[in-house]
Amino acid sequence: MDSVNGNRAVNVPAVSFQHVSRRFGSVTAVDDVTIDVAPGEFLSLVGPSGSGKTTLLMMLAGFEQPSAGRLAVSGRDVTDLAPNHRNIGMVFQKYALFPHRTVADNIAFPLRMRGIGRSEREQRVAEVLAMVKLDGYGQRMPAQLSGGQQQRVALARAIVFEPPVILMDEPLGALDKKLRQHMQIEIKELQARLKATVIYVTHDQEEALTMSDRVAILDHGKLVQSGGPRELYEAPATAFVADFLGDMNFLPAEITGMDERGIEVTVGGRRVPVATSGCWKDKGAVRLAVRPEHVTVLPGPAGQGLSGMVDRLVFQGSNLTILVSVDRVGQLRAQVEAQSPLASLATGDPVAITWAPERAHLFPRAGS
Amino acid sequence: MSALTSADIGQDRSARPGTADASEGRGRFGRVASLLLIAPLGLLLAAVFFLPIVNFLSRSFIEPQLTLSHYAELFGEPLYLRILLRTMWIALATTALTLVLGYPVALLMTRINGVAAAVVSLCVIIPLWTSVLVRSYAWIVLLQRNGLVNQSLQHLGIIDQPLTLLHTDGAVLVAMTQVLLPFMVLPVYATLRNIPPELTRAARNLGAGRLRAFLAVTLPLSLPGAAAGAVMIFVLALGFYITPALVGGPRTLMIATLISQQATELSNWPLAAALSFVLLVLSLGVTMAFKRLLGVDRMVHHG
Repeated sequence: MDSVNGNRAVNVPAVSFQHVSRRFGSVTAVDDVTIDVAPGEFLSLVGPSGSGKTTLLMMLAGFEQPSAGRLAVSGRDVTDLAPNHRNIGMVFQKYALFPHRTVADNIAFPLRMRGIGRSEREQRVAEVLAMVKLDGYGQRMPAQLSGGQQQRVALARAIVFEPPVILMDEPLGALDKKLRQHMQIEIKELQARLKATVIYVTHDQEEALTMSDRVAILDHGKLVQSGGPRELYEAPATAFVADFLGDMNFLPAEITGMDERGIEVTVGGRRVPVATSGCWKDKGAVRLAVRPEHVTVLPGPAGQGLSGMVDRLVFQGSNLTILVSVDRVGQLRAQVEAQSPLASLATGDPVAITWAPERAHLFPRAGS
Repeated sequence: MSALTSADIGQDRSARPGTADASEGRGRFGRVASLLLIAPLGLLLAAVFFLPIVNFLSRSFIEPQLTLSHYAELFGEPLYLRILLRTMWIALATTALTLVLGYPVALLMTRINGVAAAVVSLCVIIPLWTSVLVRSYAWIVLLQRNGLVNQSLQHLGIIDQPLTLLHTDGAVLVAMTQVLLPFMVLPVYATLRNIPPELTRAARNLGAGRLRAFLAVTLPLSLPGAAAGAVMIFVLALGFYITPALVGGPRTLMIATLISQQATELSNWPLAAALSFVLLVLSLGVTMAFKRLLGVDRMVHHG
């Protein structure tokens, strides 16, 4: 079973989900998901709670059986394999360190299960302890370590047997923000050094964008979109993705006309710039989405674009968010640098709102 | 002895985050208020428990005058020593049997849900609600010469003559094991239920089969519960009275029955007191030895 390390052919995906579904009674937790993960790739599975991301991971680890579909690791079908024969590393949400064993014993556990001799075990344990910056902690008990240190031990235990794939189930969820950001970088560096394939489950979209080569977004058990962080952020395929990743303004809009050069869109009765490549065939109600950092605010009454009034300025350190009430539309957020001259705007000031045409996304209106 | 186990189970609980409230409540009352609250029970215990026991036990030293002669008699008479040894052997065997029979039941209880779980829990708990006397007589009905067991075996043609089942060490052992079984199942179940399921998953993920995951994770982490159950059962079994008196015979005397004989039938109160004192020292000794072992265990585990 350990030979999978060796036969990693160039075109064989490290992990392959093929039409995988999982039903619990009448509830479909995972709905026909197909996705391949390339060797050395860092893939994040993100989605709100209940979207099926953890179930997907549990099926790959062998703790849940798919209702339909196949799972393969390095080209080998593992769908019916017991968890202990899958040779997949895993970092659990609550670390799952064995409380009655020392740190060194915890890390040596997978090596012992593989019949590796004492001297080699000790050597490899020392190596990974150094790798996760915990030299000298081998004889401590897990309860004597801080949350961050326990996290590193869990990481060390998951990589010490050099599995071709490492799964991480919200591994940083229990840590505070500072430590989490620090560990994000460390995990990423470790992954790059080991050239390991990582599947990382998180509900934190920011974490997913920072760490991943590719992000897969799940909603109600379905794979909605997958792609590079930048691609997902700049070209979301659905309103759900647009809303889930980063911050987004949604405005009720109307397609009022179209010709061979493009389409004409109005918001609150005023024409707005849109350069959509989507094939919109009918006039009618749509949702227009634009990110706060792409909204341009011009002081003074509007010549073109939307006109509105400043509600409030929110200072956020490096950024400043301007809340603008747009006539007949509602509130809209614009994000600018804190040093921007717009910082001198006051509540009630009239402003004009516009954006670069390629920054606006159109989605069908819910229910239409 | 029950103080030891409830304290152990309490410690296990307080280690869980959800139950921290109970310990936060500590120290809410001042010293005077605390004393006032505990005074009624303390006085009652002193009046009807400690005083009579001290009074009774002291008779082994001061009747007819200050003497150790009753202890000399106790340790000089081979019959008494044999009874003492038999009592300890039966208590030990009962403990071992309850462990072997009770642990799998506790394990089962953590793995089942719904109706099956309710049925198993009831099977464990209902005997606790039934009088020991009733259960002991039930064993007489089962084990007597023309009882259910002998009749069934004869019907099946396995034996020609009824076996002597009642009034044997075996009968005492079987009946005591049945009566004491819940005291093993419940503490073991409590510790097993507190073991996070992801620990077993982690072991499986790291390459352990079902059995090795159990031996490496579940078993060692459930030992405190098994030890608590074992102490409780051993100590209860040492002083067991009704069941051995009914199911055992004159030749399978245990120490509690002997004490009762000396006190009520032979009116030899000083010797009864001496025997009681030995039983008390044995019980306390075992409890403390185990508590110490468990304490050491904890230190090794949680450092």
